[in-house]
Formats: sequence, C-alpha cells, structure tokens
Amino acid sequence: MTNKQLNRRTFLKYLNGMLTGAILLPLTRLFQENKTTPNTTVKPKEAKYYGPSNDELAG
Amino acid sequence: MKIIECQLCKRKCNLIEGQRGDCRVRLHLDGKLQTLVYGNPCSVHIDPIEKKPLFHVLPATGAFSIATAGCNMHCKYCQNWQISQRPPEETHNYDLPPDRVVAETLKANCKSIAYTYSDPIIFYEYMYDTAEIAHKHNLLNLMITAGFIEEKPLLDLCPHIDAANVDLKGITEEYYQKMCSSELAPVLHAIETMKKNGVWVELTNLIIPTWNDSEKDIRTLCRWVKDTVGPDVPLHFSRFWPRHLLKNLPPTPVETMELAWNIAKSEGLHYAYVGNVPGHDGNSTFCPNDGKLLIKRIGYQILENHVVDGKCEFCKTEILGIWS
Repeated sequence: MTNKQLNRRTFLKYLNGMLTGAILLPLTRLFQENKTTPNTTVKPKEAKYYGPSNDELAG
Repeated sequence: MKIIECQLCKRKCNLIEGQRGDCRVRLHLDGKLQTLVYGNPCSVHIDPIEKKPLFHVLPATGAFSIATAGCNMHCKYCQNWQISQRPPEETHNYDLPPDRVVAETLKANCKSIAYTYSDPIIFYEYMYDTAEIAHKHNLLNLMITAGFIEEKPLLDLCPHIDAANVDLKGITEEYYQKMCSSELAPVLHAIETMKKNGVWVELTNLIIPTWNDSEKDIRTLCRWVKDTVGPDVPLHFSRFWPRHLLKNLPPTPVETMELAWNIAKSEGLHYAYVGNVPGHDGNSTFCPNDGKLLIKRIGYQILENHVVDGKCEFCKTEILGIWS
C-alpha cells in the first residue's frame, strides 16, 4: 500500500463524514419540533392585590 | 412620594417607585404593581407526581411542572436556590403563556400541572390564569407552596387548585424566623384555609439535624396536624441533604426519620411517609384499618397499587385522596 493510496482513503473518510453530517443535520432539526428557546426578556404585566400604603413618614 | 403596598403575601412589602418586593419579581412601576414573570417560567419539567410529593393524587401519572424565578421565602437550606433566590433577569426564561402550558401538558399526556420549585405564590397571576384554562381541559392543578400568603388571594385561588403540598417547615415561630426569615402562624392559617375550601392537602416537614429534629417538636407538629386538619392529611417527613447555606450540617440520620415516622403513627396520623430514603417502608401507603400494604413505592416508582375506587382492596376502607 503506497502513501498515495493512504491519502486517498483518508480523503474519502473525511468526505464521507462531511456528507453524512450534511444529511443528518437538517434531519435532526426536524425532530426538534417547537422547542421553546430560552430568553431573558422581562415583560412587566400589572399584578393583582396591591393598594396604597398606610405607612406615613414620621416627623 | 407614592408608596404602594403589595397585598399578595404576608410580607406586605411597601414599595416606592422602581422598587421590587422581597420576592424580586413584583415591581412598583409607573404607579402600579407589576409582575415580571408572567408567562416566563425558568423551569419546565415533566415530573412523576410522587416527586411533589403528592402520594394520594393520581398515582403514577406525570405532572407538568413549572416555576419562575424568585421566592418570598429565604430558607437557608433551599434546594432550588439557583432560581428561587434570583431575579428573573438572572435566569434563562421560556416564553410559555398559560394557554401554551396547557397545550404542552396535554401533548405530554400529563394529567396535572404543578406550580412548584420556587414558591408559586410569587407568580400568582400566571398560576391563576393557567389553572383556569387547565380546568377547562380536565387537568388537575397542583400547588407546592410554603403557604405564606394573604387570605384574600388564597381564597380567590382555592377553587382553581385541586391539591396542594404545603411545606410545614417547623412548628415554632423561632424556627421560621431564624431558618426562613418568615412566620409560622400565617402558614398554619393557610393550611386550614385550603383544607376548609376543598383543596386536597398534603404536608411536608423537612427534618434538619439540630434545628427541628427533637422528639418534642415532631410530636407537637403531629398533634397540630391531627387536631387541626385531621388524621387523614398525609404528612411527609423529608430527609435533609446539605445545600445552599447549610452545607455545614450532615444529612438527617435515617434513625431520626424513623423516629419521626413512628411518632406520627403513635399520634394517630393515618398516612405518614419518609421521603429521600429510597426503599424505606415509609415510602409506601398502608391501610389505616387493616395495616396492609396498599401502594408500594421505592422512591417515586410505584410497584403495587391496591387502592381500588378510592378504597382499600382488602377491607374496603375509604382511602382519602384524588384517585381518578
């Protein structure tokens, strides 16, 4: 087996890996249906149960 | 300067403009009190209902469990401090409005929604709206809480909650003040209120070495349960594991857990359980009449179930709970 043949084999292995990845990546996305992505946005909404405070300043 | 008072929990925080409550999630903004966590849970999981723990509610079903950041309790041993002691800006939150929580629950084939992990009182509006929609789809609503809430919001909420596990952390005011910066009396009142208003109640007592593990305290707690809410209210003794600010203490010895279990039985409680000790007999339910094994559990797993139509399969004694 020559060095040249080894290189060709290695190249084919890489090519095979890339092709498999290119096919599988879109497929995996198909199975990630509707995954809610985390966010850190805080959206205020009026709360219930509050009123004016009875605390008054002294003095 | 306008000051408003939050009237949701017993802390009744007085807030100037721009200030947040003790829970970190309710803010005085533009003259109004605003919740910052509506529709934005930071924890979303499907748990076995036994994990809540609720042992007398739809055994072996899944509970769609949600929580937001923040809490109105500050327990030194908190198991969920990463979310409970944080404002919502410091957690990763999901965009999950009430109708989507219900849709996801149905999709996951869960029978209930659990408002849990942090104390759901602090995301009251989110829990309330979700619970209303959930009932329209025949889902149960489960609240896992410390019960430190004002009476009015609790009374308004009770019709929408089917079952609650209330964390009765100790039985002295001193314990509540030192361990949780809180108070005992309002919690006892909340437990009674829920019970009187048709909520199925189970109680959890975390036993912590040197803090609330004396025979006297455990017996006092059991007597309060029996005399006030009755012997059919399940009481879960939970084994402490070092967490958060209490890493200096050892885990509760199993012998202490067994002592508590035996005290509860000797005081006449029908359903006492030992939690966080997988494989212990105290994980299982026994018939209060004939003593036979009814539901055999190892941790959260159910191996046998002899409760048929809410009754003991052998002697037909009614076993209180929500079984179907």
